[in-house]
Amino acid sequence: MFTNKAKVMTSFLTTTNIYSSLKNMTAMCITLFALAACSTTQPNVSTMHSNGVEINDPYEDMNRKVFEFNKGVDAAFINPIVRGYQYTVPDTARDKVDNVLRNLNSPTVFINQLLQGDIEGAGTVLVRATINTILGIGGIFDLAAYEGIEYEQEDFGQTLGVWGIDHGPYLVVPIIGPSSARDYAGFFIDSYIDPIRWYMFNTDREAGYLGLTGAKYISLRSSLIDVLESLENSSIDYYAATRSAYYQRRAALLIDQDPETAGYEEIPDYDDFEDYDHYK
Amino acid sequence: MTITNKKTKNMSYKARLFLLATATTCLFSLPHAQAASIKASGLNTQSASASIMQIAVEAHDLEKAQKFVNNVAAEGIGFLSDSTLTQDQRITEFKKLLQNSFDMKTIGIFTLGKYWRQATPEQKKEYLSLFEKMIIDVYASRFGEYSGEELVVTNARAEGKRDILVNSEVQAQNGQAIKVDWRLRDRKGSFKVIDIIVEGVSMSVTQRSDFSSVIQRGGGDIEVLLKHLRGE
Repeated sequence: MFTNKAKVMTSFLTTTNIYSSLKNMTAMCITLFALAACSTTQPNVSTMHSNGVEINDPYEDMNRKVFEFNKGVDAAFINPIVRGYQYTVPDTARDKVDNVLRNLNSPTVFINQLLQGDIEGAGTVLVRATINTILGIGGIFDLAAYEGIEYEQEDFGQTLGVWGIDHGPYLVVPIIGPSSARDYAGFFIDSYIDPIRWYMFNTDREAGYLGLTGAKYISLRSSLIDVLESLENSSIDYYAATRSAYYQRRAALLIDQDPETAGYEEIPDYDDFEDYDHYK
Repeated sequence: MTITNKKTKNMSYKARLFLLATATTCLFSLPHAQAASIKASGLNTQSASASIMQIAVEAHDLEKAQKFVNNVAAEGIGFLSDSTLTQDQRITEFKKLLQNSFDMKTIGIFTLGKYWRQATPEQKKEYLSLFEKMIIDVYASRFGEYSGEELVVTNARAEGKRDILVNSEVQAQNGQAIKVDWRLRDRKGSFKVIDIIVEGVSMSVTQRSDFSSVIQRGGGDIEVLLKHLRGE
């Protein structure tokens, strides 16, 4: 049992080493891309619907094992780090850290907006990055948001979604957590196309880039820690609840959370059921 | 084709009538089946029908719905921020809020999904009361987390066939605002909340996925879920 977990752990560690080898990285991207593309034709082993989105989880047994492994890692390492960060760094300062990290993510968001054909969205990123970098002192202050130009999260997983590629199998990735073949492929492509990564790697600042990746991860986990805790408390099968929430959240991001286009699943009128009144 | 003709020739009058009746029924039910499959096939048609519905729902209703959500939020924040109340008193207030402003039966039945129809009357009754108890327990354990968040209603629109979706943002003292949508249904002249959607994640749909996974993995037996809810 333990050796299995250790294997998963080492295989994850080797994937992080990929950062040092661009060749391997490209190969990985192509494989994952192929995986995402193939998945559309795969027979649906276990499918469910969640707000109109189909959940496809053929590797559920494996996913549940990784999910348990991640829970252990969270409890032992990640959550104490995140709580420590929240305890020692005041709210306002953490807010500034998030602003800087978001601002540094602008190139990736910009590229993905263009790839999605969202010219207006790309323009928004450009304006935000300019205002916040110059007037907001390197992105510390999100002045653009005060002006009503709000941050929009875009990534290559969403771009693939806009291009009509569906999720493929649901994947729980060690350390990273809930994902899908499509979104996990997108995750690699995002770090590959990130101009900041190119710059830092070409100027021998690999360590700095890894630090930045770590900071992004802790900031993300810090924003999620309470949500995940309450989801765990309110669910019996935490794995199933997380899976459903993941698909719904990704669907909402894909349509840019536009309230005009967001359509939710119909909730029947149970008055139609003849036995409804019986239980009053 | 010829084979079928031969067969029908040999058929009795009654059998032919039956065949005709079946064919007619199939033909008439086809457009309905098609309509249903289109409806189920995606967000685009849903949003198209939503925009048609928007015309049908009067601006007056949307305004009323926004006011309703404001009142629910004010009531909730009222007992959460009142430091003179004990935990038991807060639970009493919360129960009152659920009873007056939420349609707990619709939420409960939706959350059980397809298994509702399979449940016996006794199971249905027990499930609904256990479900309500679970909601109260879960939220009561989180009363202490309230730290001055405010709710701002931003918009309202028609949702689906019969509902209104009120958009709001929950603003913490610091940090990002959280988008919270309230799905309301008219129940005998007054609005009731039937779902809360946080950043695109529906509480009801998530809970339903949870429950159906518990039942499925328990071999399709509702009793397995009831056991969990009973705390056994």
